[in-house]
Amino acid sequence: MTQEDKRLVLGALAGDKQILQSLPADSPLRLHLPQAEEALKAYCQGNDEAVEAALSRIPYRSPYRDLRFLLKALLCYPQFPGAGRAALDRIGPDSPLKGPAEVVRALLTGQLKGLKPLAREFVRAIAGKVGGKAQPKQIFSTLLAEAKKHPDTPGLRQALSALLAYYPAGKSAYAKVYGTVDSAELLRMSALLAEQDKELDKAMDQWEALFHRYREDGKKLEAAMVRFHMVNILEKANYPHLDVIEELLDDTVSLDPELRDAWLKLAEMKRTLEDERGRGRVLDEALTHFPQDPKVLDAAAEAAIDRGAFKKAARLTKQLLKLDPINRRARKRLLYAHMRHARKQAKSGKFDLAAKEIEQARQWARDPEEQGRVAVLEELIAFLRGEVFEPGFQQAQILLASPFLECVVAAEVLSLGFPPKQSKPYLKQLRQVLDHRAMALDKTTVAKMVDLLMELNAEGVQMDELMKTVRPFLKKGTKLDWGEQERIALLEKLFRLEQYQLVRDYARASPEWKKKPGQRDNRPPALVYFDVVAKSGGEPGALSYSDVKILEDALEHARQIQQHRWASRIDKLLDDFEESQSIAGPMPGAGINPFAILEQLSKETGIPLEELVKEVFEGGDGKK
Amino acid sequence: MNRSPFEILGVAPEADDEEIRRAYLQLVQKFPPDREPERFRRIREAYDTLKDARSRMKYKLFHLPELEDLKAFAYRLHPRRPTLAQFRKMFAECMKDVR
Repeated sequence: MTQEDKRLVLGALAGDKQILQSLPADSPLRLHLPQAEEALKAYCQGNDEAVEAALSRIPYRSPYRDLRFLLKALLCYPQFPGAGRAALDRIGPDSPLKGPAEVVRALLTGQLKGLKPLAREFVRAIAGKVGGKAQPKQIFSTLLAEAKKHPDTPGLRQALSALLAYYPAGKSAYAKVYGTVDSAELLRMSALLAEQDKELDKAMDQWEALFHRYREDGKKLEAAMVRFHMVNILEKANYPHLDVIEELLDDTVSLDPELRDAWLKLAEMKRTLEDERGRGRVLDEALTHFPQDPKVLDAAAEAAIDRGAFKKAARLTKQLLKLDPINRRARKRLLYAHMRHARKQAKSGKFDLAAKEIEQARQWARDPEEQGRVAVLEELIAFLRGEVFEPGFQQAQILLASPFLECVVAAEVLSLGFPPKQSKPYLKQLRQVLDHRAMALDKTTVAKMVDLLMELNAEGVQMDELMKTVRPFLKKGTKLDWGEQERIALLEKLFRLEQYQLVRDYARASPEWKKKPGQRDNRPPALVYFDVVAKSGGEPGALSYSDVKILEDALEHARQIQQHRWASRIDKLLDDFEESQSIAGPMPGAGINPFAILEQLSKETGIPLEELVKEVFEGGDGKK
Repeated sequence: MNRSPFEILGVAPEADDEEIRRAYLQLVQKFPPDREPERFRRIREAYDTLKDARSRMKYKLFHLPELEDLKAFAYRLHPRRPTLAQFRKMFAECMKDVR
């Protein structure tokens, strides 16, 4: 389309008489103009259905065809700005409506800069004052006027009552149309507004008041929801008193036992508070309300494993797998539950039962690694039983690659509690195989080994023997090219394993580690955290003041880069440090009463007490 | 600027599970995700917010519309439209830029 053609299209739409008269009678510009004008008029009158109908009559090859996208974009205002912009994107750079499209885009984005006066007037005719802050009083007046005429308009009552939170002065005007506002409703809106304004103390006080109000009125579900909402607020604010949150959750589930997420959160809270029995009890109760819920089954199975109830864990996981057959995590858990149960049975000499568990485990082992691990366990149990003279691990060798196989064998030897005489040859062999100086290492193997260590640790296996062999190997792993998140995940596990030196090695092997003393530590806050906390052996009380300074810098860094999780973790460590300082025991010697000692001495030696006092406190020569 | 989930699904605040589901399915047929992804996403979110009694209660108890949303609601009740003359003037102004 030439520039002149574009001018003609815009001129026709602008109603330019000179241009209209110059158009031949059979020109598409003249033929299709009535439909285009009809669509524009319908839009101006607010008759959106007529807009669509008129636009559908404009032929596809008409010079006005892009009017469809322009008006569609206008109809998207203000609810669907994204869809509006997408419609405008369909108007190409060569379209005569390119200029008007930019005007409508300004309307949708609220960016009026660069618009010419008439375009600006057009936008303001639709949007009013663009970019200005919404004024509650004005909105209230508009809606109130509508409510007086059509009080039953859907959503109008709710919108007006919500506005009272921003404009409380409208209460009496509202009451004249819809009646007095319930005081609980005002309390609710005020609590929400306080939350929106980040006044959390005020919000919590009001939610508390509303909770009691609902409970007294017998509105149990509302009361439960308010309690649960309070839990969410406290959690977001990293509230440190977990026992308070636990009580709120107890209230929630007792008022509404059908609130599944509250049960799950309560169980998780018990776990954090290391109340495993309580956790099990909560999940058993939750299962009576949600026997077919995958999330509840999953949490209950995990809790059962954590307290060593493998049979129960297996039963729950099987139920879960019926509902969700491709749940990989659940399948793995079932496999490990059977393997752990097999070890438990073998250790207590119940080899037949152990064999049955192995058989069950085999059914859930899918990949070569899992199958290899089951094979190793099976052979070692057969060896313990005396069925084989020396395990050969032939099948496992096919399935597992060295050195991971050796690591698995050593791990199983330790977790099955082989007597030292029998386990030593395995560990010696392992040390030979895991010759870290000669070995090519990759990140996957390191990660797998750390996972295996975690598993053994969870079973209560003494790690010292195994660590003697694995430590140099893991130490070598520090030189690998770990991504930040990979490194942090590994550090988290090593920290839980209490391998503090390795934690420090990995935290310091990051490329950002400072080279010279006094230079700013540019490592991610998580790495600084692990480095410092590992240095103190996980004991906040053992931190030095220079450690505290480093942590304070890391805290500031975490806040700057908005790593809230790490900021809150570092903050907690610093709090624990402060607490450890304030509750530190008395100074050596404090609390000893010297007079009591002298009295005792006087009785034993027969020397008068006054003389002893004089001797001790005045040095016998009258000088103090 | 968001419409309330009740408005999006076109149901009354007192609507029950069945009514809400029916309204949702009708809207999904009208605005399938491949043709109207943004609108579908909003419909889906609205349905998730209202699909059962507890979700609805949660929404009613803890949702406070922002002022901008209330302003948009007022706009929908009284949509402002330009006059045809303002439209034409805007086209005329754009025409001057085409050389």
